[in-house]
Amino acid sequence: MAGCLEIENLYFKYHDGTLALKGVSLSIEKGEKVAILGPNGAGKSTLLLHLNGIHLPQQGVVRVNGVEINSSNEHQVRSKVGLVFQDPDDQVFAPTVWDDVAFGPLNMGLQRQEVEKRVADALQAVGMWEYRHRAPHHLSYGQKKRVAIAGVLAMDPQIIVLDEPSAFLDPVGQSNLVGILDDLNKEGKTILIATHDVDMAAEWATSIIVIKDGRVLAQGGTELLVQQDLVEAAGLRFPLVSQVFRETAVKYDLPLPCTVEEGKKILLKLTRH
Amino acid sequence: MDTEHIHLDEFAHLRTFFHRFDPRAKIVSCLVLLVIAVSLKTPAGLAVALIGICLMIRGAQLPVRRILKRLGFIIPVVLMVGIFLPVVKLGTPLFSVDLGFCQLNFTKEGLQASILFLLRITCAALLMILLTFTTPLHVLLHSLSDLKVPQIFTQLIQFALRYFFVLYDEVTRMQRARRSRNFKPAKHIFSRRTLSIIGGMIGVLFIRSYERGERVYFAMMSRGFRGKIRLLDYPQIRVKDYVFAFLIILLGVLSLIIDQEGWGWPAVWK
Ligand SMILES: Nc1ncnc2c1ncn2[C@@H]1O[C@H](COP(=O)(O)OP(=O)(O)OP(=O)(O)O)[C@@H](O)[C@H]1O
Ligand SMILES: [Mg+2]
Repeated sequence: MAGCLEIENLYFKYHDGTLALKGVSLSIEKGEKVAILGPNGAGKSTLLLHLNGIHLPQQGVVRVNGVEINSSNEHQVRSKVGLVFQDPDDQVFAPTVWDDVAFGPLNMGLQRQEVEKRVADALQAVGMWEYRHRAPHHLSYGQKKRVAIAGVLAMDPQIIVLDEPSAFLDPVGQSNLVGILDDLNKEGKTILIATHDVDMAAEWATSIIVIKDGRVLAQGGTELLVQQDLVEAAGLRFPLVSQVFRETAVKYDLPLPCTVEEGKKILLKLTRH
Repeated sequence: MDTEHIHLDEFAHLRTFFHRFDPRAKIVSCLVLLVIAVSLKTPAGLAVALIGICLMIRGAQLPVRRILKRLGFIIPVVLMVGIFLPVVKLGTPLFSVDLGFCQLNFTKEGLQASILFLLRITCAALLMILLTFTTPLHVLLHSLSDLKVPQIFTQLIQFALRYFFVLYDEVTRMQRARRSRNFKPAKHIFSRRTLSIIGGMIGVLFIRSYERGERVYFAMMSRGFRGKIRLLDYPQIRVKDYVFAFLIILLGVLSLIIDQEGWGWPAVWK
């Protein structure tokens, strides 16, 4: 089966000559939950801007549902792939929260009723419905972040891409976010996040992509997060659970756990002896 | 203390008739009145226009203090012209000031001209304030493109405003960062250190805003923006709107008639 998102040998150079992507190739299946990890400046944000045609490939190909993105179909692609920006201040601008979330649906040419329904649903999903009449520039950073996410949810894209979604969210906000993303995923949406949060990636993702210096170092399951050499090369760290069980796992010859659940199982197993 | 965030649409939510007035009819009638007002040549005609405009502002329930504050923007221009016009215009001298190297004559014609100028610019500014205070910005821009104003202009206005706020936010943030590290500008502006720090800030401001501006544009494109402003409620023009627009234009015509009578008392009052 062809992936719903495919990238082949993608290069991108900024105006000032910085080569941000140096031959990225990857493939993502429909319905996956993907976490892209990598150090600062690895090229994550640059890569994400290619997924909905904001940057068109200077060299290489990006395909969405098998269709190559080019200047003639970039606008259609944007209603299929929704992108939440890293910095909500870049994205949120309308006079009220409500207007901001309605911006995307209105651009899609939807009718009033549909727009109202989508805005209400999206704002309720991120817990910002009470703030709908407020001016976004007076909200806290985490609240703006939620509005930014709602703005993309309201467009109901098939693929949702979020750049650093959990940064600046409070603990409840973070677990709500995971809940929202899981719900969307259950509806059949493919979700991609760029993040520095190794623990969230380990708990949530079904597929991990590690990039560094504009290249893909590895793509695979969450077991990548406990590969010593890869983790070191990418400037990451082991998930906390894995750190806790590292010696134990070696001693009892068990697989190293990534998630809290796996950790609990090992604890139960060991204490039963 | 931080400067408060600038609001553009502060009073756009009020619900007087002037707010519900169809934006297209409002724009056209206000523009006609504006063109007439700035072409008036007598204080009598201008006074009529000014009184009419003030009545409309009352009708729209706009707070007087805010309007005066907004009017403050034109004071520098008025002062400049108010000082220069009486001097440069030739005519009957009223009094003169000896500056040593030259003599400045304040003429009657010049003084009249600067009073006219003051009245005209006040009329124009009040009309614009009325228009922008009673119409949300996106509605205003949408109506402009409805009135066949080329999209390049409406987009230019839209992005200019969007980026103005971006710039304003950057300045606020940089000031905050500067203050929190105890930067105090020197007593006089020509201190080397102060100048170099402020100069550096302006430079960084440009680069930062340029890059942020680009990301802001990307984010708008990402949500399907293609240059056209879309509205939830497409405004329908009603008979009431035509009547009201007609009344505003009538005010212009009235002031034009009174204006034709010249500097003396208008004929209607004789
Ligand atoms: N507008 C720009 N102009 C020039 N170079 C840029 C620009 N944006 C990013 N870069 C450079 O491109 C490279 C990749 O940047 P990118 O923002 O994609 O990194 P990132 O992986 O998202 O990092 P972070 O984790 O800090 O968000 C970096 O070396 C960065 O300096
Ligand atoms: Mg980034």
